[in-house]
Amino acid sequence: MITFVTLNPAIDEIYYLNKFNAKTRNRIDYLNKVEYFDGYRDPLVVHAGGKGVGSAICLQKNGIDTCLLSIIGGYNGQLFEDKLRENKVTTSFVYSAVETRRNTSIFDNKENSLTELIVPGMLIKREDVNHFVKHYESLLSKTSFMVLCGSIPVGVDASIYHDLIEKAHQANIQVLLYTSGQAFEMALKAGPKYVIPELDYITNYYGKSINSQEAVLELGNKIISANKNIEIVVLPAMFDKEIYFIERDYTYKVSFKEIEHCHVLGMYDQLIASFTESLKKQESREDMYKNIASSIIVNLNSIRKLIFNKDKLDEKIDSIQLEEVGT
Amino acid sequence: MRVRDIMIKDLSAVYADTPINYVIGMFNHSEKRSLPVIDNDFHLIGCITVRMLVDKCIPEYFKTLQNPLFLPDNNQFETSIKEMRNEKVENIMGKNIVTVYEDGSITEITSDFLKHSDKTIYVVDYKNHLKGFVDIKHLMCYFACDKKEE
Repeated sequence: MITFVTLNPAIDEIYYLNKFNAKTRNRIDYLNKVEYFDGYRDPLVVHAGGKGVGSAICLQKNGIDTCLLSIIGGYNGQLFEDKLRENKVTTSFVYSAVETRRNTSIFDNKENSLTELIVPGMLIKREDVNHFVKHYESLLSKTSFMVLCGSIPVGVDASIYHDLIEKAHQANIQVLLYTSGQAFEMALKAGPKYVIPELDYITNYYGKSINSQEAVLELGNKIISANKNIEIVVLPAMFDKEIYFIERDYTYKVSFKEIEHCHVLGMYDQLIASFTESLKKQESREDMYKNIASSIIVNLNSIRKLIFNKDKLDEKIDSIQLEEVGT
Repeated sequence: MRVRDIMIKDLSAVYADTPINYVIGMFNHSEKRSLPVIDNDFHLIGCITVRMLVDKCIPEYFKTLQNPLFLPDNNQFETSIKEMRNEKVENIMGKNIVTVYEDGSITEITSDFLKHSDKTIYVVDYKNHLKGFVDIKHLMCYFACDKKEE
């Protein structure tokens, strides 16, 4: 079983509108779907959200057993639990007194724009964190691969990912890390095998803005040098519509400049799902990178948060060119 | 149709050394009225329910009384709960619990629900590792929705 840890889950409300008008009243017409370039959408879709949650759902839909370990609470927490059960993901929750956060995204069809309201999450009590860690330790006996995803809620030490990685290593379980900020820096020291930094929030770690291939390569090398256990760093550089796969001896990139639409909602979840699935299937590095790139391109080119259809995700594979860009 | 087709794959649980105060919080913050108790290797070792906590707080003879006014101390329930707060789950949990396997039949689990008063039956694998649960509601829904025909 692949275990996903999402410490800061959310309910994601996504509004698909023909036109979003700021500073005035926008009425939602539930009865009529909205026509987008890639099909019709209900005007309001509610998902279980938070980094990694979509990835767990994707994998489960593709027949890979996943478990989500999280801290939830309140009405939103109950809804979150129901949404995961609908998708047959194994759940493992710590029930907290604080309400699970709710994020809102608004697509404007006319302007082809996305407005997001992101809530940081509430204070988690120490006793909930302690129960969470104890449960994590027990779950290791049922886990074949660990994925640690997303931000750290208030009340949880930034060192938690570092500690969780060390515990996974003691149980001989490999880890994929996807986060940012201080938690990211500390976690790198524990040596997760696979790393996906959240590029938008990693400027502090790198020390300057990341807006060129040189900067991406320098950042990738800095990450991979942080611990000898790190094998692959995946860096989607959306400013240039490219994705980089950085290994110790090789670096590859895939460009997707030609894609017409570029909706980043759900992109990282799709990436993590594809990455994890390729690792589980023990694909060659080349096949794995092509699979990841294909799934990202398909996801970016759709306003859906996640694409579950494997045939659809693979449809770009033949056209993907891996370019070696030095070490 | 097997148990695995209607079960909820949920591994949320407490441990023998979890304080009762924390368990009361978990019941309060979720819709659950029963939680499995596991050891560090995920073996199911018992369960704890809201009813068990209530029963622990009232004297045995209360059940035979026709009116709670006969209780010598009306605050006894509150006092007992406060006294129980720092106790561990292992002192209160039930150890004789009904379990089924994932590949068990629906007939088997229906029979278990009818024979026992438990509203939740835990699902385990052949090594007694917790895999999830089936609630009486899920079974009723299964029969009511004619899902067996799907």
